[in-house]
Amino acid sequence: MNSTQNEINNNLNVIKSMIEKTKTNTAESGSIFILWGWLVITASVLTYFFVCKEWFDRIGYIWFLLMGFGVVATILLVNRHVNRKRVKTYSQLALSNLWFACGISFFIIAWIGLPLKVIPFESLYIIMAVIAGVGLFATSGILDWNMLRVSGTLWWVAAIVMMFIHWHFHTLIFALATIPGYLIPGYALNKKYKKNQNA
Amino acid sequence: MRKFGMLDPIIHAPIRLAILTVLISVKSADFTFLKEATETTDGNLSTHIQKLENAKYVKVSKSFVGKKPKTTLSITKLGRKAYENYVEEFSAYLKHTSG
Repeated sequence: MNSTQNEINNNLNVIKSMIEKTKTNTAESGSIFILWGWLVITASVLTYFFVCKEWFDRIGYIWFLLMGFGVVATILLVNRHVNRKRVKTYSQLALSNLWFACGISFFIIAWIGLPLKVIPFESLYIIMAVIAGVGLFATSGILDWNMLRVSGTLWWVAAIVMMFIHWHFHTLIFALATIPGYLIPGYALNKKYKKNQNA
Repeated sequence: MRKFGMLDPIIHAPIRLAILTVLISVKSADFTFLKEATETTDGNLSTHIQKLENAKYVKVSKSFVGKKPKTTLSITKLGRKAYENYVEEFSAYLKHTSG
């Protein structure tokens, strides 16, 4: 009976220890949040500046260049991450599908809807903020992290605020919302990831 | 009365239980990750993986990252079912012994 009890305790410890090890080894690095956070802030502030200067025809180029750079850098980061990563989790799969879907939505709105004038420039940032809110809020559920729930909600608050102010200032609101929306969670994830790596 | 010895012998060995516990919670894991998690040697891990593969509880895929070979494992439907049954039996036995 004693040896059976030992076996039970041993196997229970094996299960607990493996769950713990898997949990600490699958944290996200947050690098993609940080990358997109800075790119969106840069593009939004430059857009505001160009709107003030009435250089409307140049706005598309800023977004095209910065977002193009973002897509290439994301592909490189993901590839490096996949090659280095020794374990692939269901949450990573869910996150990549979710953000891919958000990316496609941004693309349809900004690069098809806007040039075709189906989506007016006045509504562009409002729609983008709503989609970003969905992405962040869903991410909070996948990672079980309440901070992202706040970030997602702030994107929706930003979308509502934009509905009440002149479109000239939408890019500034968008840049402001990016700080709690992408940058703060990105750096917090990165800190958590580094802590796990050093543990 | 439940007998502890009736638990699936393929899963019951600590290393194999450890491998399946990792694989049940992830989509896939590579050999090095499992080696570090189980704190065992290459040879020992390979032997246990072989047993799990023979029982069709895990799927083993081999690929290359650059010039380095990489062995990746994932749990099969049969393996998931067997693990769930094992945990169910194990819990029932724990309840029986504690109550």
